[in-house]
Amino acid sequence: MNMSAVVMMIVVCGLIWGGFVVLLTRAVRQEGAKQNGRIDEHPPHPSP
Amino acid sequence: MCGRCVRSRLPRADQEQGGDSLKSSEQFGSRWGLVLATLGMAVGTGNIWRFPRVAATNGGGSFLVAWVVFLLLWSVPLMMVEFSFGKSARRGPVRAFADLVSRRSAWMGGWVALCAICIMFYYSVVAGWCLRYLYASLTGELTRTPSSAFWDGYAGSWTALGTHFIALGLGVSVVWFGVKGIERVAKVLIPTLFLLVIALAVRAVTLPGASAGLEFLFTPHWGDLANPGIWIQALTQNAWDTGAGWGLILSYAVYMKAREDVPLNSFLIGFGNNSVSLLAGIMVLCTVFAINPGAQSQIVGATNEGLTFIWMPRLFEAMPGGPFFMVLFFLALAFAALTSLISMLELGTRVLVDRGAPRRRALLWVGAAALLLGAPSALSTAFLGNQDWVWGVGLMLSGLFFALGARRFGLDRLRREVINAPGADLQIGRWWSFVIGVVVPVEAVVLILWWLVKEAAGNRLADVLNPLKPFSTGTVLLQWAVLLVALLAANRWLAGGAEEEA
Repeated sequence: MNMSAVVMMIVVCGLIWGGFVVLLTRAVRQEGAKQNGRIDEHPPHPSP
Repeated sequence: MCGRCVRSRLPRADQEQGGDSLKSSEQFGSRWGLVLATLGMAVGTGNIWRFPRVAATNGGGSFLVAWVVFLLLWSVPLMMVEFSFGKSARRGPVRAFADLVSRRSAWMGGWVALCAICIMFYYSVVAGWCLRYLYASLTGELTRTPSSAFWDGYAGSWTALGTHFIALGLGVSVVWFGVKGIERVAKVLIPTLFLLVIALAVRAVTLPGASAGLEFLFTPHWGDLANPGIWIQALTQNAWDTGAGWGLILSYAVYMKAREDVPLNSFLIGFGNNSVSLLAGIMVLCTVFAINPGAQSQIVGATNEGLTFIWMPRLFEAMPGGPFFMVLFFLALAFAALTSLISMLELGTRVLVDRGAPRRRALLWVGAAALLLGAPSALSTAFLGNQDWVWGVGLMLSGLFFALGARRFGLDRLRREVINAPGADLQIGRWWSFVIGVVVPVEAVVLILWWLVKEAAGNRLADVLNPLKPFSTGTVLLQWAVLLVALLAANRWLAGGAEEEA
């Protein structure tokens, strides 16, 4: 495989799959916190 | 009551009641039920048979750049609009537009609903094809019969009508049990679908010679980014395979809890859907390059049906352990098709329920209509192609209507009061208002014009405007005009009930 294809594969797969895993992890954490009643209803997270 | 009064009432009404104006049996039991059902809606056959082909024929790596851009500039922002409309109005597309935008805009909701319903008529046929091929791969028919002969003997036959009926029956039997039935099925099918696609992709990349497929998919040709066609194809792919702007997410959002998150779920579904597309691209192209590298241009240049139902069985036949992986492939395809079909049936049912019909009777009416009006597509692939062309492009108009509806409602207000409402796990900034207010409408108009002009290029005007030609601009304009005139004429009736309840 040429180097540009390798770089593009890492970037695109990292962004899409990595993004999905990060978002899923965050949703799991937030949901867990909501279930435990520990969360602020207006979290000060920046927009992604 | 004026539109402004209605607008000021709806989101607040939910909040005052602690939000849950729906009975718990009419709500998704958990966030994961909602996310999995919506992912099931989004992940369809388009991810598995269209994405690999479109990515491969539009510059590979450079196409992927544009594809990621439009995930963020079309799909995810429109998903937020749909979630917000469904969550606020607690009604299907027609009544949501009447209640939230204005009574005079009910026809826009009607367009969104009918466009998705017209797609359902032939999508059920496609789901039937997937079931037939799953059965044929299980019984070994596909390995005994040449795949092109099998397809020619099956597509457009009475058997295809039978499988259309079976697919509809399966879909109706799930929606029959309401949102709980949809949730239960999604919780099984979607994780299984993810595992199947991952298993198939892993198998494909471990085939000797598979790296050529990866190279073909990921090598960027930066000069291609100057070609508007690449950007249009990337936008179209996002619009079609995420299901944003179809009204289907809105129909599921009706059943979400009032304090359920909108923004993080929208990102999650958008990225989850595109993750499946990427896996499917890797799976298909690695298989093609590993098994039959000499025919790669012929294979990726085939139609969706040609790639999936003629070439893939041939490739699996030649692969070590191929019959087993062929079963997994068609199982994944069948799951993807059925979960999308279920969401379309739910949308149609929701529209009738909003008109006062009992839910199960409404579902039976929708199922019967789909059986009858899908029959021509089952018996003629040319008719199916025509409907796919007409309503596929019509979806861009649906996306435009959502953006215009959100503008009319008030973009900042929708963002503050619904998207960033209590329960939101992310706070969305003003960029969203700009994307929905300016970028999405421009994208939709450019896309519609491009599709129509592309079709017209190089053809005589008489042929272009001939409504009897299955893929002409004329057939699109005629069918759109009939639907639009009917919807505008029926607007008062469509909006009926909104004022009384308000």
